Amino acid sequence: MKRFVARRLVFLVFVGLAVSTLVFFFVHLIPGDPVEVMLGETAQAADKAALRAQLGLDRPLLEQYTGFLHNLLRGDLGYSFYTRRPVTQVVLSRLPATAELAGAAILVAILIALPAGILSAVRPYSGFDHASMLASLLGVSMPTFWLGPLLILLFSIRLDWFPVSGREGISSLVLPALTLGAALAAILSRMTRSAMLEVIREEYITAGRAKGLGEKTVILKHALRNALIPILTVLGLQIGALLSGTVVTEKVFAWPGIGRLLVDGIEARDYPLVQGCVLAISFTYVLVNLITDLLYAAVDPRIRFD
Amino acid sequence: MTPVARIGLAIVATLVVVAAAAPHIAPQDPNTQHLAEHLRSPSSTHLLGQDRTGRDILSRVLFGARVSVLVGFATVAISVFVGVCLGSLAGYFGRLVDDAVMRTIDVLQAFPGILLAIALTAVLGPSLRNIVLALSVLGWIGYARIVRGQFLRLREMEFVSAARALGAGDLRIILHHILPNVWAPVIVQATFGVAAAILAEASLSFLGLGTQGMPSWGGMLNEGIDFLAEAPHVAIFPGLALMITILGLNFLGDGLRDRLDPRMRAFDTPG
Repeated sequence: MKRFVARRLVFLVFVGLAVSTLVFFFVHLIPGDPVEVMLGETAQAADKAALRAQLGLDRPLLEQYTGFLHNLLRGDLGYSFYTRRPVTQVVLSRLPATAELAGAAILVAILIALPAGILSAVRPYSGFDHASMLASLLGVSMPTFWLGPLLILLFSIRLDWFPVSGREGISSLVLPALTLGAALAAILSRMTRSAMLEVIREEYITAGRAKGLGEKTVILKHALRNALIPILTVLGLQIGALLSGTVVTEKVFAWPGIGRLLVDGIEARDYPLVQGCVLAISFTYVLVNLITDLLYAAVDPRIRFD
Repeated sequence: MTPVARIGLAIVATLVVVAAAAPHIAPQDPNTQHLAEHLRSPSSTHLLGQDRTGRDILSRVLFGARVSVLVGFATVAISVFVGVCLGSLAGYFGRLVDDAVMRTIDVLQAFPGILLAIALTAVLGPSLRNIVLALSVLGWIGYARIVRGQFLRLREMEFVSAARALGAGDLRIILHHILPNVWAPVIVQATFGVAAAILAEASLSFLGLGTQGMPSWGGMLNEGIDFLAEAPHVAIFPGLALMITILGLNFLGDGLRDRLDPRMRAFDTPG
């Protein structure tokens, strides 16, 4: 187990470096001069030069890169071109909002998918099963930026149950979480159904029933536990989609998270901010993957000895 | 083919026809503005209503199909080509080549979903070509994995050794003997890949990183969001078109998988 963890940590460092490098070179290839965007085209050449020097944009690319790496290791992501606030601070201040949204979405997805999947597996090919599979197909095919507005239209504008946008209190979390979690719920419910169907056929389930265990115990205590492994795998694989889904969802609901920050930063050509956001999201993703892998290894002993 | 798969095929065929024939079947020019008539509801002259600058939504939806079809199929074409090439080489030669390909995949996959596409499109600038490029950068990975897996399995089989014994070189074995057995899962994945590419392009357009000038479903949704209360039709119809397209492609992919999979197993018999 220790060797497994050690290998993954080394890989983490390597990937972190590769990601940072890629991000740095991307952002510095963005067309459009940020200095011009900030000062306007009619600005004096001297002012432009002064700002460029101040932001370090006049130094050779390689020097900027090594400087960037050095600062990165100290946790310094530079200063936003527009607000002049330290990027690290801005990014960290928006992180909780995105974490809240992502967490709520996963919760919603699990709350919908697990019962639906279990019930479908227990009564396969029934009316409920067909309805649930149809719903999951729709959930997967419906784009987030269409489902969101539809939900807003129905629940905010027509019914006035929830606020249209923004982040104020738990009622404003419901629609965004539902929107983001819908696709995940669809995938998870299909996975739960097929995983449960497979497990229910196993001999130890028949043995449990023969022993006289109640059906609920058999299903929930024995079948579900074993079905959780593939379900967890799928959940881990979908985290990436979830994280990138927050970018769109945050735009639809004007949710003040990192995704929103990223899109705004791109529009404003705010290099350091864009860099910071992409790095933050990527690092989070790599870290979450690592945790998922470790959880997976902890739950399924077979993995550790690979 | 199951009825569901037939529906999928019908939807996809309709999409392609609509995209090709858009200039001929659209009732109006998609870019003509009628500023005095902004946000009008569906009427007899504008069946799906008008948008913020009075443009006909039906025509824009029809023309939007062109962008989707173009991006979807172009991305998959490039991704399949690159993925099959790299996957074959990795699976056939193994070791160093395999390592190189897999490590590259690992690094590229450190970026979640469309984040890389967003970054790339922001860097390269919004244009049809750049979107296809940005989506292909990650798109090839799925096909490379499938092909690599198949190659790792098939290269040990007797028909390969037989071919080698008869004097076939590596290239001939790859192209003539192993690759023909690999197409089925690639085709299935490609169908889902088109759906994914269309959705990704719509997302990018929604975020403002899409093509300028040509109507696209994602871009239309982006505009429509601001007017949900007074003119929901602006956002609803392009979204509906998108959903039907993705559903159709998913149905078709499922149908193809059911059809091609059992046949694929016939190639498993050794010797």
